[in-house]
Amino acid sequence: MVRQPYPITAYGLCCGLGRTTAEVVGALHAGTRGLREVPFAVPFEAITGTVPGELPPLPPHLARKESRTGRLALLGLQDVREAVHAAKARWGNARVATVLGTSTGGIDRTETIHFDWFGRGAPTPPALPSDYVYLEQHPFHAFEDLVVADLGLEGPAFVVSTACSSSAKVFSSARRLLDLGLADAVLVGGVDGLCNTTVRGFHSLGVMASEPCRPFGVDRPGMNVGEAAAYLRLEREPRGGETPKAWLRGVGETSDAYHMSSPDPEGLGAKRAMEASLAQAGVGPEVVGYVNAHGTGTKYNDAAESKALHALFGPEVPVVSTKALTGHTLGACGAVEAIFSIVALEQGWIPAGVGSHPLDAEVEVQVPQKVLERPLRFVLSNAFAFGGNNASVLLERGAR
Amino acid sequence: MTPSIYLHGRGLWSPGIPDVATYLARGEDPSAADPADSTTPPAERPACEVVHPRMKRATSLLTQTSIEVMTQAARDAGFALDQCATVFGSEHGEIQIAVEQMQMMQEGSGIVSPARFKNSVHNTAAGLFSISVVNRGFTTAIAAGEHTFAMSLLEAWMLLADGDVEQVVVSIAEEPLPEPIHDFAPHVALGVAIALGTKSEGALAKIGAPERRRVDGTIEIPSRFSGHPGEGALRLVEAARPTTSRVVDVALSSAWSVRVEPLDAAGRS
Repeated sequence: MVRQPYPITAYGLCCGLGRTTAEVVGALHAGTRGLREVPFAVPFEAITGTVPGELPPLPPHLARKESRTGRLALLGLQDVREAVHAAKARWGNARVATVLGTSTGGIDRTETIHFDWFGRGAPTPPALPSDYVYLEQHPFHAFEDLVVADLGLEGPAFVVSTACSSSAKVFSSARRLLDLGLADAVLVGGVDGLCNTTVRGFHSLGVMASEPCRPFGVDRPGMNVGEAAAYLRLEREPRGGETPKAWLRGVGETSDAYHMSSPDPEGLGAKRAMEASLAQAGVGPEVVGYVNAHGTGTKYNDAAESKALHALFGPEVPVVSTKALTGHTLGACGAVEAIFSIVALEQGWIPAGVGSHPLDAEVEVQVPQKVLERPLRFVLSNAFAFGGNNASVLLERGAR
Repeated sequence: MTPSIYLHGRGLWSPGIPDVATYLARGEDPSAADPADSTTPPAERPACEVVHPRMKRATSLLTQTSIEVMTQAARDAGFALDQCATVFGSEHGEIQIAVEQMQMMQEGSGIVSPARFKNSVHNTAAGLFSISVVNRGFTTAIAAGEHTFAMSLLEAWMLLADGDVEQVVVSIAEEPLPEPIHDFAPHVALGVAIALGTKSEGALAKIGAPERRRVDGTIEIPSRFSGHPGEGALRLVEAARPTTSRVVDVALSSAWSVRVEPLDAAGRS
């Protein structure tokens, strides 16, 4: 079914590449990696896509919602806050919905408390500190409540948490809210702060690199975990005379039905997700000028994804994984990389595939070694997750 | 025009309450209303028979409960398990595994178990269900605090109303929270699922979109489930065969409700 396009009229983010949207886009163009020290102690070598500098504390009236993810969520809002207030003024507070993705929410807050509570080894565990408020800090919705409270939004609000596809799937939830007249604007996005659970967890699976990752590269060492907060504003229609940043044209969502943590080696679920997103726009693969790959840098993901890309697009379409620069921002990567795709459409350039060359012989797609300047009309952005959960987002240039 | 959406089936599991029939018969069988212990995971587990025992081994009570009720509701509705879309709701997600991993981080090498980690994501039940029944279609996992069931129901309703799918099963499930966070939300284990579709044939009722509006009276639920994130889903289970049109509260704090309408003999509302 061909779907109604919706305009994306604002965006903003922070991640390992920078604290502001301008810093992030500058580093993306320059091909600068945002990989740094892990911001807490872990018993192995690792580097992570850590947001540079200290994360600002929450304002006093929201301080009860403390977590690293919460702090990150508000830092990432800075470049879209005005746009959200404008949407409230245009449509009304109750007509602006919020759909955000995350994989672990504010789990870092409970980790800190638990390490203290359990780590003392006392026969009687100490009382929990009075500023630890589990329900307002840890669960998936806690950081979204923080965002909603900060912005004063009153529309439907929920979190999608399907691990690394979370904030790609939020686009289809937003489309449904707009299609069915349940909202006139939707703030979508993804937030995941660095935490022990994911850094130690991916290490335990044997897929973490202690050096910068090299998506699609020969002998690639694995992935780097990253953190980010990224937001986009979708609206029913652009303000009169305004050109949107981009149009949301399709979101394909499928399941591999194969394995909890490994992709279908043939990439069939990924291919079906990409095909579904194209079908929603009523276009074929030939219109896509660039694919922002999921490209985690692990052996199995990149091999399966390149098979799916080659089967659908052939060998010519440029494919880049920006995770080489940001690390894998997990539940935030769908929104982060949708923004990168929109930047490519707006500014007419494809980022360099940093670290990808020499390519793995199994990889049969084109990964540019340097920034390619070219006009683009359609860009596809992939996000795949544990559980074989696939989402592929098709975006069209704002100026048609 | 938005198509009509129909309620086709129900699923439910909690310790001592293996299915919807047992729950609805609780007035005749007082044992079904016995208070369950929320402080430790119960020894009793749902059958969760669609999952291979080898795959089930490292999964949580939450995952098993979610899959059990999802399967019950799909079967009650006559939906093919490999075809229906699924929406898995949970406020707290895989909280037992999350805290267990925190303990592992402070013991021995400080490394967590890979088997635990891969089953620690919020969409573990979604992934394991899709693998177990070979369902390659849409699935998602939702959280929204005390509105978790209402928002999961909204996503399910939207999938149907917007023409994405023709059949969807939506669930909410929670397991007891472990120490040291147990007292913040002392819930018992509970899972509830509702099967929805676009066809009226064989349906129990017609169901409207979740909306913010006042409810028509209260549907009593057992005290052990009072304040549970699944409370609204239990009310919908009770209201699934209405004799008159009524508005049912599907969230805590009366924030979200749905209109449930009876069908006539010809399946019309």
